[in-house]
Amino acid sequence: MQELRDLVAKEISLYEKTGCQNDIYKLKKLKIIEEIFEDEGCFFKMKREDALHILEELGINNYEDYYKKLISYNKFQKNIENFNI
Amino acid sequence: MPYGYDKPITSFGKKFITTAHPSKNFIKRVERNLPVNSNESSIALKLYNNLNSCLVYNEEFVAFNQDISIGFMSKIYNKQINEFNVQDNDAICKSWAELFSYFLTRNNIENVINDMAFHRYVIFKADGYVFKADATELKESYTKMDDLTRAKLQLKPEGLTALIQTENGVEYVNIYDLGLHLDENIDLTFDNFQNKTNMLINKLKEETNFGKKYYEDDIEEKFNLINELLQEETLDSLAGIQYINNLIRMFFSNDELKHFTYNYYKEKEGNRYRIIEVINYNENSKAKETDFDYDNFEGINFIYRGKGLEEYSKRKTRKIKEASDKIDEEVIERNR
Repeated sequence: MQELRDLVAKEISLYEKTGCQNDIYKLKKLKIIEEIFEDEGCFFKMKREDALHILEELGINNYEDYYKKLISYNKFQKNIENFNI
Repeated sequence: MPYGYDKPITSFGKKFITTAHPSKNFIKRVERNLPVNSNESSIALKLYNNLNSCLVYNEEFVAFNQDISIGFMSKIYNKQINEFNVQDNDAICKSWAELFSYFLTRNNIENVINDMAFHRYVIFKADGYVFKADATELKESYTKMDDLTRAKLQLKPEGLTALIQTENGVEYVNIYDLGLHLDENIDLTFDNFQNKTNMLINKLKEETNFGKKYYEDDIEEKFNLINELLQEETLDSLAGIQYINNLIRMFFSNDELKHFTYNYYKEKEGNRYRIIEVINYNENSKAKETDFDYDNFEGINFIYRGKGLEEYSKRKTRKIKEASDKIDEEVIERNR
């Protein structure tokens, strides 16, 4: 998860530096994604297709395999306090 | 017209009086976000939903077809209310009824447990109605699920009904269909826990051109994915079930969830039968609304609880065994 956060932060700083008008949409997206990632268990709270979109958006290779790792049982147990259970 | 509100509540059953208490943690979980200032039916409904999401069936028990031999009954019926804690959340109809009755009494709602036949449920009075609360009975609707299972799949309960007098006699009407003014927060519990993330994702979809591509897998593939994920892990029972339910919610849309049914079959194991619980997906299941067929496994099946989890725990013990073997070898080598 931290890896993903670093990636988003890096991308944001990159786009902020260039300040190109065409990149405004991309920057907007990244800002919202950054906000989503604040929650450690966010991948357990969103639909699979949305998660795949986000990972693809961030340019991750083999995003399906990456997603599987993000929603493994071990991760679930670590985040269990975030859930209404 | 509501039925039976003028009758004394004791005509419906016996009051449940106990000196035992569930653990503090358990009480806290059941009374979480209780709408204290709202009407009685809202409080009861909230307690009902919270309790159901905390409990799972005792592995040896099913609401229908329960074994009523003396040995089985004495083993399972003698469970005390104070034996419930966070780790041990299993219930049968009687212990469920006792727990629900305990929480209603705690919140000053008049209630009794029925004392007819073997099956137990709770009757209580609230807001001019007499309600019947039964979370451990399979409903004859197309989902064929009891409320213990429904609560975990984030579906609205069906077992909390009011007694209504009609021309044809007394009928049970779902609490949601009564037109009562229920507290707003109650419905939210069903998707509350993913609210913020989903809100952000909606924002992402609205404000940007995100999500044009649509990933559409067929149902079978999604089932395979879940099974694949489960096989990589060693699951312990309660957290394992929560994990499975979570995966189901993430992978399937609300429309797809409507076709999910809860089912079970028996498997002989030595002298006794084991109940294997199954989640069944059948696109045509809506058509069978009136047909109450237990052995309907058409469509895709997915093991929810039972054999599957047992296999995982076996694998877990094998791992422990392998690890201990390794230690033995090390000890032997060191002693040489």
